[in-house]
Amino acid sequence: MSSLEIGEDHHVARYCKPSAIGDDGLPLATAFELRDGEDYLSVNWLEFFKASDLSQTIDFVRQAFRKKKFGVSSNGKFVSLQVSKVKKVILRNSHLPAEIIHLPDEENDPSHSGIFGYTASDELISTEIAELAHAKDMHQGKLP
Amino acid sequence: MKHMDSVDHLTSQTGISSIFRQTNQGSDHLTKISNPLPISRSPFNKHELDVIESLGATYQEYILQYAIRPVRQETMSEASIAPNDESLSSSFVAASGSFKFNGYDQAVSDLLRDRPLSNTSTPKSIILANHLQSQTHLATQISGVTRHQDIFDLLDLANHKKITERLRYLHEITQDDDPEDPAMKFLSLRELALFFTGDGNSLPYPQIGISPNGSLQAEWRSRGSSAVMKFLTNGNTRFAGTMGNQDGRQTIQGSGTKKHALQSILPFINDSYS
Repeated sequence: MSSLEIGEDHHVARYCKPSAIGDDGLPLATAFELRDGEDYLSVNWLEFFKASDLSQTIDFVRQAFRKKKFGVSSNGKFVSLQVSKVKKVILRNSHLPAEIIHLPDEENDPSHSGIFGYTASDELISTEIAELAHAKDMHQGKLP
Repeated sequence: MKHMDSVDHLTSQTGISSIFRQTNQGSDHLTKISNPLPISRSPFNKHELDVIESLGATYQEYILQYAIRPVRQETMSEASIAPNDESLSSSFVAASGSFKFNGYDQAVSDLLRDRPLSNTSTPKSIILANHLQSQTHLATQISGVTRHQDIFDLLDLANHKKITERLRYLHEITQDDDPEDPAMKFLSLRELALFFTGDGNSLPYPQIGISPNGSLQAEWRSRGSSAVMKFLTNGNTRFAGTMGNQDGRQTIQGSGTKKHALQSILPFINDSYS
């Protein structure tokens, strides 16, 4: 397994379920909360695909979700976030080291990665990560 | 004894305190005085105390023991302290000095019918008692039901239609969507409903989401300010708030009762909607 730390200027995508999308179409803090006992938030490393544009990259992520048989809804959305901004939020609010590490599932989800540095009870961090998202960063979950 | 309310994380204490003061000056929320006033120093006059007494022991105790009063006494004659929903409690016209009670609070309504309304001063205690009675009745109803649907209906009746609509949507999608999706926890829903029909009644409409463990979370945000309040199944909350700009941020995170959470994040909510 790779343990490569993803570069600061790169981007990761997080799938936000419909229950974690607000009325304004942006992710809620709940989209970035960890379950009890989890030590990282699952994301996908976008530059891994070396695709020519972002929409194609997100499509690769959709394919990975299909392979994993992970439900993606048409009302759900992927949000892309810059690594350095996410790490900055964690660094200023957590005593744990902020790291975004490539954790590939070679067979089904080669770009799978994890955001480390916070816990299930760090609502402040999930809230501030949600604040990083803008409309231009949002991409539809399941395509029609 | 360990306090249940806690703040895990707080920055810029001074800044937050000053915002609290500003908020309270402009607030019409009812507030609870930590040390109950002796009757001789009660905010109510003798006639009002007689009326409170006639409402029965429960409300007498509720008002006098807990000494609940409005923060802004001068606003007592304005419509802002009346419950939002006419169907649930009372409505009144401040300009004419007359009061009309059309809810299910028959005891208060009967009392008022016997009074020469046009010649009386503002019956603060009556309005307050009526408001409290309505809230208490609704809270009792919410606490007594056992199905999600019942709580949606009660919130709808309490005129929280946007919140109800969102909750119904969340309940449906977590049932229909991904089987791994967390179901909406009923006890968390109950606590949210109690909050928004009680102390949180006049807050701006929040975004509502479901956390990975199934607890409901209300979120307020705009222009770099955010506040969140997670409703735990034991009646307590976890909360967080953040506001500021590149020059500096103020943040807070903690846990405790709903009242404690509201007091802690209110400056962040107000900043979001200022």
